[in-house]
Amino acid sequence: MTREEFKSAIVPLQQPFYRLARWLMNNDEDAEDISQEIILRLWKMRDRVSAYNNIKAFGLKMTRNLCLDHLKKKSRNSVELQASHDNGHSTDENRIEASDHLNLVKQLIRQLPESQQLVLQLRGVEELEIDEIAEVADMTPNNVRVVLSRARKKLKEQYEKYQ
Amino acid sequence: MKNINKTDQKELLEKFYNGETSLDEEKLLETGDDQLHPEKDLFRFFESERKVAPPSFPLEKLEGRHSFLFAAKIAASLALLVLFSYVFFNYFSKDAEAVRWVEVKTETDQKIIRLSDGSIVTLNKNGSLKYQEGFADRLVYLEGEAFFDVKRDEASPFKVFTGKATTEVLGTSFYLRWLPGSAKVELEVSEGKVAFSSHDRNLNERVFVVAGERAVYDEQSNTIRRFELFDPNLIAWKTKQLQFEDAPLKKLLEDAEGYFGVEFAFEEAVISNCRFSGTFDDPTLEQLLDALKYVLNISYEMQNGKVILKGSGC
Repeated sequence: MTREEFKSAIVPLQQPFYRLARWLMNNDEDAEDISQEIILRLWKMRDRVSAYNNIKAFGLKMTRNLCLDHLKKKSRNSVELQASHDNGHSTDENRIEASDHLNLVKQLIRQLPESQQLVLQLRGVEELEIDEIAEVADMTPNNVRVVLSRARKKLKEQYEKYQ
Repeated sequence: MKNINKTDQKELLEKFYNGETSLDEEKLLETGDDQLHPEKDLFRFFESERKVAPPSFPLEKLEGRHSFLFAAKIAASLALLVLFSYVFFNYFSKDAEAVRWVEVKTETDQKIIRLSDGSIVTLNKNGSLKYQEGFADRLVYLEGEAFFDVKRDEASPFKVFTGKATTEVLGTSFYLRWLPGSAKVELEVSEGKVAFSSHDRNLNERVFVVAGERAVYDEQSNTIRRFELFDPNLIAWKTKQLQFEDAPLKKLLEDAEGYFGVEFAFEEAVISNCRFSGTFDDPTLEQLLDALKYVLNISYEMQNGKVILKGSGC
């Protein structure tokens, strides 16, 4: 893959990588670093990269793994900080003050288990096919459908509590 | 596209909550006029998330790590090397043409590969097929699973290399599976006759396998075994058909695991003595499970992507 081909085919994928990282890290700066890092990793393997028939899914998978690594490191360094943070900030569901509907949806998604959040994002924001989500999330396609269904139902149920 | 009626919409929503809508159907829900709650808010949230973009990528990072001068020196010496080798090859070997290879890989999807001799290869997921550009020699390397439909050409046999085994045919259709790292190469012939052999010189044996037969080459024992047993479900991924004829339930579940990519959990007692006959055309997992439910009195539930089976045997 030449530099020009890489620029037009791969560099624009930074956006989906960024969106996923931003969701997982909950932080713009980390998301920028991580999504750049993934593009650079793809650049280093550019000779092999065209052999993958779905570079977007492949890159999203790399993004997710890198985010999980970062989160693991962070949680190791800040166990105490988080503990005290949790005390002062109880995640009591009733205390969510949603300024508008979109905010409410966001807060509700945040309360779902990680796998459900991931599958919802990949489907809703990135508009991936079930097979692609399966690749990124390390699940079987059937598993993806089950998790997706569970997440949507839970979300509806929670949403209706606030109406 | 925009207006869908109420009943359709209700059906769509039900599918949506079961995780069964396609992307197109989800678009239909998204653009539908009706005020849907909370689905509209969910779609609007995703739409707003989709607009999130990173600062533009610093393209200067897409260079090698070396300084310009260093790169220039490398380039100059490479140019010299290329020049020398060009002269050398032209001088000493007029016909030293580089062999170019074409490699087709699959990950999550199957691919149908039409070769220039008219043969058609269906390559299953996670596979790779390699052949020389032009395909004059009718020779391919396979990793993974594939179904071959080979165009007849008596003058030029079609060869497939898989690990240490070679499959040679004039024109037939057959299925081959070799997973890299595995000691076994599996062959099943649907039509015609296939010569199956090992690369190993010790095994000076060519086994002819005909339609309706299977053969397995085992690298460890260095043997080829031939069976007069044809298992149509080996190529269910291609035919989209699962066939069972008085099949033990255990075999049925193994085939279904491979076909649907799910895992079954059950106690041995559940499946003891149960057998099943029937053919499924392009089935969903639920259709298959419902059939088992009625015929064998087995109940099932899904848990974390696993299918848990309960029953008391037959």
